[in-house]
Amino acid sequence: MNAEPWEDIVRFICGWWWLILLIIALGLTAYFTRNLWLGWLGL
Amino acid sequence: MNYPELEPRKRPNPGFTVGLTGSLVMIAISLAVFFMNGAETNGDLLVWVLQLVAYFFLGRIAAQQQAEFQQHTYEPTRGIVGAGIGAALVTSILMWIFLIIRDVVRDALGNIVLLEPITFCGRIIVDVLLAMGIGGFAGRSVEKQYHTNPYDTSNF
Repeated sequence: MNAEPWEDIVRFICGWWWLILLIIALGLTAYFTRNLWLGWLGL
Repeated sequence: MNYPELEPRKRPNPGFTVGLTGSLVMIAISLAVFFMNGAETNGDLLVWVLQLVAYFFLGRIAAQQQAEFQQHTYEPTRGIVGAGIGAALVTSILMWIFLIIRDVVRDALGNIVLLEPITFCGRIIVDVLLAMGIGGFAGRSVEKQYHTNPYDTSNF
């Protein structure tokens, strides 16, 4: 209706914030536990 | 006679519920940053910047919920800005309560907690005012979309 152009990205974040947060949390968990699992990959 | 379908349904207040959810998420982020820094408070400024961004999105989510709840009423835009302000305000207040409790616990565990009362009060006031401003801006951006022109008869 009266939406501004920048509101599309805002609406996307409002709908999927939990997924974005989950990806960040999983990414940080993987990064901080890299000593555990890098060995299993043979690296 | 009782007309249950005409009575307003008991709905949770979007400003409060979204604010509560948001503050739980922010507390989790704050604790994560705190422990990543080895139980030091160096990351508090980073968390606060994230918190300011979160105020906007929480305000948007709460205002959107409020708008959808009352879309088909006589006052479709009533309380939309208030929901946005409320969500940001609840988050801000609960975060300050969390920070005070965290510092009390750190103090009890034997850490040195330095706190200047005037600076601390000033920080709370600035944060609460920013929360109200950002939440209000988010609420107004949603309210604008639900404004209808009362003189527009094209939808009759």
